[in-house]
Amino acid sequence: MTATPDPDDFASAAADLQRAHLLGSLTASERARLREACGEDAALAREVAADLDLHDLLSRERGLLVDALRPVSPSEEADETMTRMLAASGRAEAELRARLLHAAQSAPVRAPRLRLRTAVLVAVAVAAAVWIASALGAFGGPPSLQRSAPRDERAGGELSGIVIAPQLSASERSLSWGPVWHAHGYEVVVLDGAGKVVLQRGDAHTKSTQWELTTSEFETLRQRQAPLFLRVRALDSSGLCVTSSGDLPLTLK
Amino acid sequence: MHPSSLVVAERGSTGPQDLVLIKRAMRGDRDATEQLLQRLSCIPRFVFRLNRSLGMCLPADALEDVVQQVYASVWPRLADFVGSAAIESWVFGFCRNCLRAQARKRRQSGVVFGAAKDVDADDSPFEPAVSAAPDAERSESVELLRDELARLEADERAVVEMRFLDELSFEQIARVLDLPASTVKDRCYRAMTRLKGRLQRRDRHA
Repeated sequence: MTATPDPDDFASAAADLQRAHLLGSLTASERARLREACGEDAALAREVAADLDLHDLLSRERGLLVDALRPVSPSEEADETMTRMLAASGRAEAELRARLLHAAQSAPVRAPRLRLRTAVLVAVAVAAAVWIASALGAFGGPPSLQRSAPRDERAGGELSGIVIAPQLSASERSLSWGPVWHAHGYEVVVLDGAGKVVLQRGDAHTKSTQWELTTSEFETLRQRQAPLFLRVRALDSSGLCVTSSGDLPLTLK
Repeated sequence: MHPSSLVVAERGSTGPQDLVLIKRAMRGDRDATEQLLQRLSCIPRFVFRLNRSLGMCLPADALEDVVQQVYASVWPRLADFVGSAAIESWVFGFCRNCLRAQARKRRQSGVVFGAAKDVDADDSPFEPAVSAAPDAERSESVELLRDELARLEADERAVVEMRFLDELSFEQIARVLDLPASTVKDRCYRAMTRLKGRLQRRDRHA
């Protein structure tokens, strides 16, 4: 006796084949079975035809990409249009380079953060050291916080970053900012909208947290088109940047 | 190199490394910046070839503008790069879009530019494009496909592009995306069904 195929099983198998067909993962024998199934089911045949249309479009799209990826041929290289395009590309590339480097420089430098686990381990180690030391009688009395005077290289205040309110006028030509712990100097520049340095404080190695602009320096800024930005970078003893203010809009009254 | 292996070499397999490269460049790493710019040097070539393959025939001055526009469009979108494909294939989309925008702009302003046959003539010094001289209808269909691909969710689009443009296997895609192959297949099937449905609807309306 021959078993009659269950129509539900047939439909499910055909649907699976069509799914694999849409995904482009049919084997040759499966493809033959699908073709056979399409002969008996017009709706399935329409679905498969639509799959083929989509595959065809994707394959044309791929053709465009493959073509674009081919290396430049000598005849293309010598083409005048290509030469002009390469020159345009060079200009755009220089601009993008400047933007990338400028954006990175103007982003405030963050102090490295300890990972949580490292911080916990350090805290546990310090607590253990204190406990052992006190058990050994290293401290004369109960542990207490002592205010020790730091090697003061700053003018005062408890600042961890640069705080500025950059505003200049003809009568008030002074810029000042909060000092930064362990800073050995400050590099102070005024930039234009394109990130080009318009004005720079003369000495980057002074610890002074103020810049008194001369009348001519102020005039230089006033003659410039807005926007202007102020950037103050605190430098360590090696001249490396400790922290930066980022680019702060500078207003001229 | 066989075209398909060329695509795989340039696209699917380098996505995650390219993401690292872009992040380094965005942090101001000079080496990474130079490497990134080197990778972007494919832009004029892509624009030149697409102009020909899509039968747009824009003149040199317009193509110069397109090249500059592609660079300008890439810059604000660098942070969006997710590493599902190589930089080249990511940039390819920008090249296409800018080229189409330029062609549209020129058409609207009534500027007439050369016909496709001028470029694909027999005496052209260039090797023929894979799909050289596509007729208007074919070209339009591929553009429709691009539009619909762009409308897919980013994760679905990435899978379809890797599968059908890069010709990666589902296992390779799964490795690149760090997902089970079954998830990749489901995602791809969902995306393809959506694409097919949208294109069929467009056909019916046309």
